[in-house]
Formats: sequence, C-alpha cells, structure tokens
Amino acid sequence: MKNTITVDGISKKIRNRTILDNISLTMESGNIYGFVGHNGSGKTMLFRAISGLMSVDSGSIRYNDLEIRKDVPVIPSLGMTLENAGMYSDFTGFKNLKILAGIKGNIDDEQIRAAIKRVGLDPDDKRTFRKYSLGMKQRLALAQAFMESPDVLMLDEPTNALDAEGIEQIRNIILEEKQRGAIVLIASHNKEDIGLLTDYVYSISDGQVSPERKDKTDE
Amino acid sequence: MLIAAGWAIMGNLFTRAGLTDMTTSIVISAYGYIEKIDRTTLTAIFVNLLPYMVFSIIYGLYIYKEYCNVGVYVFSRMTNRKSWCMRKIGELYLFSFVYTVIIIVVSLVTLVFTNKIQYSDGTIRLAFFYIVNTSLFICASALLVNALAIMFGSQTAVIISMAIQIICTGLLIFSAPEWDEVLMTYVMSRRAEILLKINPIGNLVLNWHSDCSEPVNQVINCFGINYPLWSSTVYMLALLIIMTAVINTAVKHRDIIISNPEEG
Repeated sequence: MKNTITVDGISKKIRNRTILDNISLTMESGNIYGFVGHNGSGKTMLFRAISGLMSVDSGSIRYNDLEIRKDVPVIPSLGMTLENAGMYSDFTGFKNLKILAGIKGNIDDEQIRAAIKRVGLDPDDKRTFRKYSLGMKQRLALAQAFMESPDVLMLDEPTNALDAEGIEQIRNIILEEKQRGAIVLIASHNKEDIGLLTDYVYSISDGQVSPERKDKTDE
Repeated sequence: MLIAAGWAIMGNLFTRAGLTDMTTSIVISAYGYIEKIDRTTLTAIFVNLLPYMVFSIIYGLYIYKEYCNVGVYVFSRMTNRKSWCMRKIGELYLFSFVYTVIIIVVSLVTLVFTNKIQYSDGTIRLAFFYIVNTSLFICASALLVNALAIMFGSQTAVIISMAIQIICTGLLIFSAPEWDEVLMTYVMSRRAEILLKINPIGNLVLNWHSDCSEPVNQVINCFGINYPLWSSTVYMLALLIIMTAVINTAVKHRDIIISNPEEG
C-alpha cells in the first residue's frame, strides 16, 4: 500500500512571527524529500508541524485518510530525529532505545541491538548517553528513528557531527529505508546529502516552501 | 534523599539536641512545631519549609526535563500523552513520599542518640498525617513547577512557585489569634480561622489542627479550634488533583518546542 502525507495550506505564527506560511505539499512512499534553507527558515518547525508534535494555526495535515491532531495526535508510524532533542543522560544507548521501543512494544531486544549496530555503535557499550561524543549521540538518535522500521522518517540534519565513514553509512541506511518504502523527509544544510539522496527538493525561506530543481542543488 | 536525611540530622542537632523528656508524638508534631503565629514563628515555618522547597526545585523539573529532552522521541511514538504524564506523576508522588518518610525517620533515629525519647500514644497516627499531608503538598508543588516550566520556562516556574510559598507563609500573619480582654486569653476570630484553613502552608502545621484521637489532640490543637487533621489531607489531595489536571493540560496542549522555538 502506498502511504501519502498531504499538507494543505498550513500556517503557524509564534510570537507574531510567521514561521510557516501557507505551505502545501504531497509526499508519497518510496521517495526522499529534501528541505533546504538557512538557519531559522522554518525547516525544523515544518517537521514538527507535519509530525503532529506542533499545532498549526490553519490548514491541515493528512496521513492517508487520517487528519493529524484530529484523528490521531501524531503520524502513527513515525521515526524522527530533531536537532537539540536529547535522551536519558544516565542510561546507556541500549537502555535508551529499549525504553523508547517499550512504548509501542513492536520490536524485541535483538532488533534494538541490530539497530544500534546498523548505525555503527556497540550495543554492549556501558557508557551512559552523557559520555557519548556528539557523533555517537547523532548515531543513536538515528538508530531510534530507524529501529521500528517506520513508514515515515523525518531526519533533521542526519549527517551532522558524523565523520566521513559515518556519513557514508547513514546515507546508505537512508537509501535502504527508501527502498523499503518509507516516506523520508530530510532537512539539511549539506548540499551533498541533498544532491545524492533526495528525489525532490524544496527550499524554505521565511516560512514559505518552493520546489527547487534537483540539478540546482547538485551544483 | 540525602538532602532529606541531612536536613533532619542538622535540624535536630541545632534545635533539639540535649532537650530531655521528649515524646515521639512531640517530635513528629514539632515538624510543624509552631504553637502561635507571629513574625518569629513565621520565620520558623519558613525554615521548616526549606527542605520541601529544595524538593520542589529538584523535582520541579523532573517531568519538564524529560518532556523537553526526550519528549520528541517519546511523543512521536505515543498516541496518548496522558498515560505518560500519569506515570510520571505517580513516580513523583513516590519520591515525595520517600523524601518525607526519610525526614521523619532520620529525625527520630538521631534524636534517640542525642535525647531521651519516650514512645507515646498517637505517634503512629500523627506520623501518618504528617507523611500523607506533607508528601501530597510537596508533590503538588513540584507539579506546579513542572507545569509552569512547560508553559513559561524553568526559571520563571521556580520563581513563581517559590514566591507563592513565601507569600502564603507571610499571609499566615492574618490568621494570628488576638488577645481577648474578657476571656484573658488568645482567641482566633472566624476570619482568621478561615484564612488559616485556606492557606496551604497553614494546612501543613500539625499543631494548629485538632483530632478525634485524644492522645493526638493533647499534643496538637494549640488554638482549640475545630480543624481536623483529615480536612488537611482532603485539602492537599484536592490540591494534587488540581495540579494533576493542570500538568495534563499543559503536556497535552503545549507544542513540543525544545529549548529554542526559533531554531531550524
């Protein structure tokens, strides 16, 4: 079955500043959508709104025939990473993912371990999240997004803080997720990521979204 | 928990060490050991409140921190934020209960070594009301900080919550009994009694209450008014229910905006 996200004329103001301005988009399974824009352009806010984590002032977001924040509070099968979001600092990576996986309870310990290995981390690492490097934190955040094989992936700057090997590894996983049939949304400053990974590119500026020609970002 | 134990030990060493002929009931009631209302006793009430204020600062960000930090990953998987919130409130009440128990137990144990203590009737009943009323209060105040932090940010939340507790302590001055020239004793007016009963801090001071158990009533009830201990339990429970509703509303309706709503 093909899943579809339909964003219809959403707008959001925070403290009288327009963050999202009448945005309409349609996104389908098996595609990667890239969102580019400078800091403060509204990329992260758009992800928060589409996921259902943030309300919008007008417009609607639908996932198949479900209206987000009306029929369901968030997209039902969603894996996401957001900049600045943290984890339980006093727990190991495995314990963190086990707690999060326990919310839905649809994967077991072995699948959690596999998700951690997939992003290049050691599931038996006894260090707490607090002691992780920036790159390790980023990998763990990505592992929690991928681990339940969600239908929708929203990845905010997925290759930030990663070394060259890590970037390659994560790019491959993102492409595998696309092959699996997930709708993948990526916000990135990294033009190489956008150029290599995405099928459609949107530029965000002052809360407005406009389609961008793929070859333009490849330059 | 170390703070609770440390506070109980220090409090005993500085205020009660060496005092003789203490009963266990007096030790427990003495945690709100105020027998009158004036500026000096208000200071004592404030000092007694300090360990609980520390609790509400530490645990006041317990739900908020998780909400802001890992909240994105939790709520992106969760269709019902209320169940998460109720579980966190349950954990918070458990911490409040243990914190209060530690203060009372450590206090009694230390006084066994420094003072001559005798067990007295009514100790268990008094300890029960002290632990239940105080733990409900500190859980409610920690929830208030959490709810305010989610709505306005952590600094504002701590300031508002502390200000409320300090103002409520100060307002107790209007509940002071007045000297009656005819009866030649201090008498509490109806207005002062009502102000006392609606003040959350007033509801914490065991000595101002009455009780149907005579051994307990003899230790407390210094104002001679009808102010049953259980009425404060109901009051604190109502406070906790209101705070539970407030934080549930805040968690349900407040957008997940991590530290800086403008980034990205």
